[in-house]
Amino acid sequence: MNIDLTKNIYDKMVSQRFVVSIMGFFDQQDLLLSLINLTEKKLTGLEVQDSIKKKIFHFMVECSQNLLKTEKSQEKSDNNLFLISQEGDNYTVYLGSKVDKNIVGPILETITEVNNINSEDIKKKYYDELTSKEIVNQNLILLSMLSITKKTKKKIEYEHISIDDTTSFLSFKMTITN
Amino acid sequence: MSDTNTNSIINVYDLFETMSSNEIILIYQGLFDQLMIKTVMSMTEMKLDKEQVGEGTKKKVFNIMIEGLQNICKHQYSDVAIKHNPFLVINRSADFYNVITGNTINNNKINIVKDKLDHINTLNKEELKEFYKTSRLNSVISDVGGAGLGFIDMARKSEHKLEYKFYSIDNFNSFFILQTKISNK
Amino acid sequence: MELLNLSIAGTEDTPEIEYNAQSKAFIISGRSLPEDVTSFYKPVFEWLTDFTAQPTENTTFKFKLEYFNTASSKIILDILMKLEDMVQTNKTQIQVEWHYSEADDDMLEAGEEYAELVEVPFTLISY
Repeated sequence: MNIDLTKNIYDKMVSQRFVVSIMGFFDQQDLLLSLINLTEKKLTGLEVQDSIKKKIFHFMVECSQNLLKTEKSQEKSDNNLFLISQEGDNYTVYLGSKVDKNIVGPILETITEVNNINSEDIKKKYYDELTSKEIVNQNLILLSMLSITKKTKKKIEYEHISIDDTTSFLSFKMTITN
Repeated sequence: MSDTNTNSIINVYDLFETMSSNEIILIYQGLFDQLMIKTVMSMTEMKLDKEQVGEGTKKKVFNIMIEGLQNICKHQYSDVAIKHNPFLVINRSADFYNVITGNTINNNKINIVKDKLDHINTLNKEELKEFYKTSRLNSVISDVGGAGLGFIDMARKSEHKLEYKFYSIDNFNSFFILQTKISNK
Repeated sequence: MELLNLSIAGTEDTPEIEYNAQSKAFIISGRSLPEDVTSFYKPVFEWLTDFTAQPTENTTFKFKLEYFNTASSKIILDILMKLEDMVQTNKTQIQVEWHYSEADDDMLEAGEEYAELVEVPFTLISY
């Protein structure tokens, strides 16, 4: 790899105002925790309020544990991506990952479903889902998205890009104002 | 095919794509502390383990990462560094792993660093060993000198020339990128 | 048979859980975001089964959590529903205390929601 290319990547990150960028293999729980701790330090340094920090954690935890979950058995380790950008008082957190195409359909359907619910009805829907007996450990996608929406009071923003027949790139974005 | 409900995420995939197409194992841009160093080390370790890299190569990658990161940590709290976070990239090419670090540097120190690196690059294995010994004896703790031993150590472990470049930021500061190769045996 | 005390040390992603028969208090505190909630909470449900069989009088269940993930929110509800069963079948007297940081509106709201969902004496306490 030549040095100019490295510089080019760096410049892209800086020009997009990323205050933290990390790309690599981190679907393991302990690395998620390191990232949360790192984010906490960074946000504390930037004097972000505790309640906002918690909303960001929640977004990070739910995205990693429920929305971007990749098959553990996958032989090839894929890269994940985590970015925080800052523009004035706005902080935007991005989480993205290469995922199996077959999990994307249900996730996108659920996003559409959740994003179409009126903000006043989110709470009720969340209650219904929380008390529903149907939920099994593996299928928390809907509850997870409802809880993100309930806490952030925003629509879920995502991007899906098809890479090939079996894999996609899926990313989520959340902006909060301090 | 792209499917999105927002416009600005596009850049994220662009970065991801750059990463994949250049066989980048890890990129980190942000402040470094003990915890973050631990994190990037374990991310790299997991990845190298998955690729079944030999223990010797792995150890070299790790040692060079540590030297590089220590160097970065010394400089990260200067005024200019606030806007230009330190940077670490690990990538793989057919025969090598590359450990690449980037950090800001004061322009008046460029020549010292450049001379040191150029000198190191003229030395063979034996000469490097000697130079390490004498430098260790003569080393004084100074802001630039601190990195001196680190460079020699990196060159010895790498067994390749150290590649570097300085990019001007403003009249006083530049961004220094150092790339160290490790043969994948 | 004496009901066993319960003691699980807290970690970065799992809460500390304690039951002490002398003080008649069950306390869960810290963060709860394990990857596999079911296996983490298994000993708690086993303990709850034992407790239901021979409850101590007048026990307080304290929840003092900083953060929990969605999967844990489901588990917390399951625990509260077990307590509700005990109350409704007059097995024993139980109080639930939900402790939340003054600055944490989400944690207060979560407490209020649980208080509505289950019929157990429920107190919200700020710290």
